[in-house]
Amino acid sequence: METEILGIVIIYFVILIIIGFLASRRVKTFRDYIIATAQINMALLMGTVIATQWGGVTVMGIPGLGYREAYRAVYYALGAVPRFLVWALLLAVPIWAAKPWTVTEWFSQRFDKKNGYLIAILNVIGFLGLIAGQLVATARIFSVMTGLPFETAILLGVVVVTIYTATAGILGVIYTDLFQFILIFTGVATLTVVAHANIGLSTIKTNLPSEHWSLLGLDGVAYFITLFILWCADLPYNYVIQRISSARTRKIVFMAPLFGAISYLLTAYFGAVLGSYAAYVLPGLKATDEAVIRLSITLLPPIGAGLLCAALLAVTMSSADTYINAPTSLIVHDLIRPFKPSLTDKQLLAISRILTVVLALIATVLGLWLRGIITVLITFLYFTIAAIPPFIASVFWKKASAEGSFWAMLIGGIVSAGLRFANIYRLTPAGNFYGIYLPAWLGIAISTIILVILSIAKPKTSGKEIKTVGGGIISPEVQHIIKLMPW
Amino acid sequence: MSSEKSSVELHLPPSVVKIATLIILVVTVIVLVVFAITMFIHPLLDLVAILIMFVIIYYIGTWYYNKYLGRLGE
Repeated sequence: METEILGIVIIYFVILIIIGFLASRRVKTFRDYIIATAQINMALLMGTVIATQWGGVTVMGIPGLGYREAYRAVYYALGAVPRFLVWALLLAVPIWAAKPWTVTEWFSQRFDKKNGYLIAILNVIGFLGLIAGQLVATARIFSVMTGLPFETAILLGVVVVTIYTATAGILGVIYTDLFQFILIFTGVATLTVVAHANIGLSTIKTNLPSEHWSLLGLDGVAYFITLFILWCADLPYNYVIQRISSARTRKIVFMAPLFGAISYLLTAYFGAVLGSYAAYVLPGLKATDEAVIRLSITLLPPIGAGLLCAALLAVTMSSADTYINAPTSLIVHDLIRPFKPSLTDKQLLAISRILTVVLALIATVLGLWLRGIITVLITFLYFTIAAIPPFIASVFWKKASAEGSFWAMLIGGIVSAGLRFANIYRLTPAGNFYGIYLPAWLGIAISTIILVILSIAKPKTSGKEIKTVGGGIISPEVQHIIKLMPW
Repeated sequence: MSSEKSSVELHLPPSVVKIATLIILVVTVIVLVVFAITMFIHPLLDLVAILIMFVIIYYIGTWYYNKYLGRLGE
């Protein structure tokens, strides 16, 4: 059985590298590497938006929650629905109109350079954790399915992801994402159908305890609101800006996240149902994140389990490649290039590729250290929770000022991440309230209050105002950059 | 590309933001209620419920786009 599974996974890796190589032939410049400027059609953008989001936490973690409580999984996944609607209805079109290369550029345009540097630093910290988490998830799947040691599995995964991310840049990431999205959907849907046919919903409804199907009352409401905030916390990440700027038309940039919202209806259903089936078939599982993998081994023939292994690897690796590419763009475009303007396009491209490898290696070390703690991924989102209010305000609140945005992100971020880490190190009481809810709620509340008070108390100067994408003000220097852009 | 370049001047007016916020709230309530009431009874019923929510989100989204975003900046 292990040989068949391994064979399918190797074929999958070879296909990924071929796609990456083919995409690399279209990478001619540094810009091609970091954004696929207005090149991406509807299918590709949908594939990349959904596949990036359907990472290890979504496809392994949500069924893991559903293993214990079905509606915990539902609320976790449904928190992504309003988050995708915020992306589509509020953020996508105004940002697409400016087509910033990076999130730093967007914050610099809308506020000032200080804000740009701060969001870049927050992104890089957050991304390192996200990459490490995806690599850990990848290694977990690989080692459970094939019997390979964890260390070997994580190294194999990082080699493949790094090769095609470093070779093909954002185009390779987007093309492989579409391929991976098809695999993910097919794999998870097949397992659900097989479970329905072999076991049946009525069986698990009857045999699992009634608490398993509880709506969770007020705790459920608090959990859903917190998860919505956490889902929104990865909106001010560079990969969101990259995807918005890569869309070919205004309609495509709107429809892709709309379908992202729809896709999470399926995730909520698959997560709750597969977790519940696993709870019935495999009682007493300690590592509940492995519920889907172990359920597939139990219910599917070896070839089916191998395909699902490839699908699960697809979701974690498609997130990993994006998370590696995005901070690379930030560091090279926003932190290296401004200080070394003499660097040529070829040199920037070479630095990007080297940096991709370096980031992957750092994340591998982090992954080997964190090993198996997928839920700790959420922790890194607490760094950017406080960036949500300034990011959304940048699109429609003209009075939002640079001072307000900067201090809102800094103080709100310190409070939310600080409280989260305090709970991890057991400095605050255990449980969801102090561990998840309070850090998120305080972070968003403090950020919003600071943004509003400082923006009103210290409004922007009107001397250099230029009408802007977000309805705010941008400096003549940035307006000049926009005019220089080729679109 | 000239039409795209001119759209650099657009921004979201407060009235559009209010409509968007209302849509997000309404859709969120609908999906939560549907999942709480009709889900996990029978696979076919679940499929129908998901399809209905799919259609609701798609049509509300495209209505909003055509009415507000599609012509923004023109």
